[in-house]
Formats: sequence, structure tokens, C-alpha cells
Amino acid sequence: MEKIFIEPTRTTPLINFDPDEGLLEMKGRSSPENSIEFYQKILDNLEEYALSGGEQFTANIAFEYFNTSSSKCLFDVFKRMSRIEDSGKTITINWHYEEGDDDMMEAGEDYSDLLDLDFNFTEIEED
Amino acid sequence: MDKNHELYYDEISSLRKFRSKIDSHAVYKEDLDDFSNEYEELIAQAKVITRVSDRLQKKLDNANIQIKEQNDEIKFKNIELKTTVDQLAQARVGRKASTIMLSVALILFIAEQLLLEPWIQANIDIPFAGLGILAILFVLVKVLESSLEKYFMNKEKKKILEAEQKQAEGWS
Repeated sequence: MEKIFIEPTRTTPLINFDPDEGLLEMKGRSSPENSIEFYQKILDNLEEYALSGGEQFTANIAFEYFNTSSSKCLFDVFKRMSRIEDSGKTITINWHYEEGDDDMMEAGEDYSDLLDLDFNFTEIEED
Repeated sequence: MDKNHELYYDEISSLRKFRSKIDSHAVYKEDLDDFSNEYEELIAQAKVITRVSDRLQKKLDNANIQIKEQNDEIKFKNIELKTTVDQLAQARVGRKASTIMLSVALILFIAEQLLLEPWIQANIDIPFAGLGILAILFVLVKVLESSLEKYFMNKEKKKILEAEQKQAEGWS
């Protein structure tokens, strides 16, 4: 497991994965040319975290927009988180969305329902 | 771990495994249960991904509509601004050009009357030659007035736009 830090761009979100802290942050817009290539490293590390990571895991998610292939990758990310939870660890998922952005809030609700994960929904002020 | 994953890698991998079991005639009820569960999950996944995508597509569409509306408004404001600048410049310049050209016309008329007219009467034997020259001078003055107005207008517009820009920079 390694720390991952990816600066945000116009088409990719900020990624901050710190296995020592048990923290994953994803923030911004996600419409990369190749979504799976972009998210693969995170998926692999989360897989490993379920096996050998710490007892607490926190995910802070704040997306403005993501495309269809990213939505599949996010599903896979949450599935890995579900596995972390199944391995007996405590998991906290904070889903942040911009003020009035009901579509983004509902997207979080869909993931939460499908994977039976508890999300904390927080409205944040627009930049 | 495999670093060359593709989208839906896990699902494709399950399908391949199941197919290889079919090929080897080693399919048990357990395998069918697993496969149908995975298929069910895939359907649920497809439903959610489609719903999420539709929502975000709608968000994108709304943003595009908003951008288009803002562009239209900017275009309209630009036209309005251009008209106002033109009117303002016209008002400022029109009088200035007329005053200059009236002065020039007066000087030319006096010069014609004092210098050219006596010379014409003494040397040229054409009736109404003086009046003809005055008519030519009048046309010339009119042409010069339009050119002068155009020149002042461009200068004035530039000045107004620069002032607007400075004001906008001051606000931002």
C-alpha cells in the first residue's frame, strides 16, 4: 500500500489516499480519457487496505461532476469500501455536495442504497 | 495485481470463468447460484449507473443552457454597449467636427473672396467662375467634414472603451 496524491486537473479530481491515516479524499470533476486507468491504483490500494489496513477508514468525497465511466469506477471504489467494512473495520463515508446540487446528493444516495453503505451527506458552499 | 484492467473487468472475468465451466461440463447448482447473483448485481449496478449518469447529464445540460443564455445576454449587452458608445461618440464628435469645418469654410470663403475672386475677374473670362469655385470648395468642405468626423469618432470610441475597461478593471 502506498500514499497516493494526484493534483486535480480540468478533467480529473484531486486524489489523496493515505493508508497510514486510513483516509481517502476525492474532490473535483471526473471525466478522464481513461477512467479505469485513472482509478485502478486506488482500487488496488483499497483492496489491499481491506486485507491489511488499519481499523478506521474515512472517505471524504466531494464531486462537482463525473462522467459515466467514472460512475462505474466510483461504484467499484465503494464496493471496495464495502469489503473494508465486511472485513470488520469501521468505515465513515462523507459525501459532500455543493449547495442546491440535489443531483449530486441523489447520486450519493444511489450508491449508498445499492451497496448498503452509510453515507454522511454534507452540503458545502459553492466556491 | 493486474495493472491492465478494463472497465467491468470483474464482471467480464466472472463471465469467462462461468463459460469455461460450461465448456468443461462442470456446472453445479452452486455455480448457477453464484452466476445469477452476479448477474442480479450487474443489473442493479447498471440501473444505478444509468440513473446517476442521467442525473449528471441533466446537470451538464442545465449548465450548457445557462452558458448559452449568458452568451446571448453578453451578445445583447455588447450590441447595447456598441450603440451607446456610438451615440456618445457621435454626440461628442459631431459638434467638434462641425465647428472646425465651419471655421475652415469661413477662412476659405474669405480667402476666396479676398485673393482668388479679384484674380479670377482679372484673368479668367468665364461667367460664374467664382461661384463654381465656391461650389467646389463647398463639396470639398463637406467631404472633409465626414472624414474628420470619422477620424474623431474612432478616436473618441477608443477613449470611451478604454475608460470602460479601466472602470471594469477597477471593479474586479
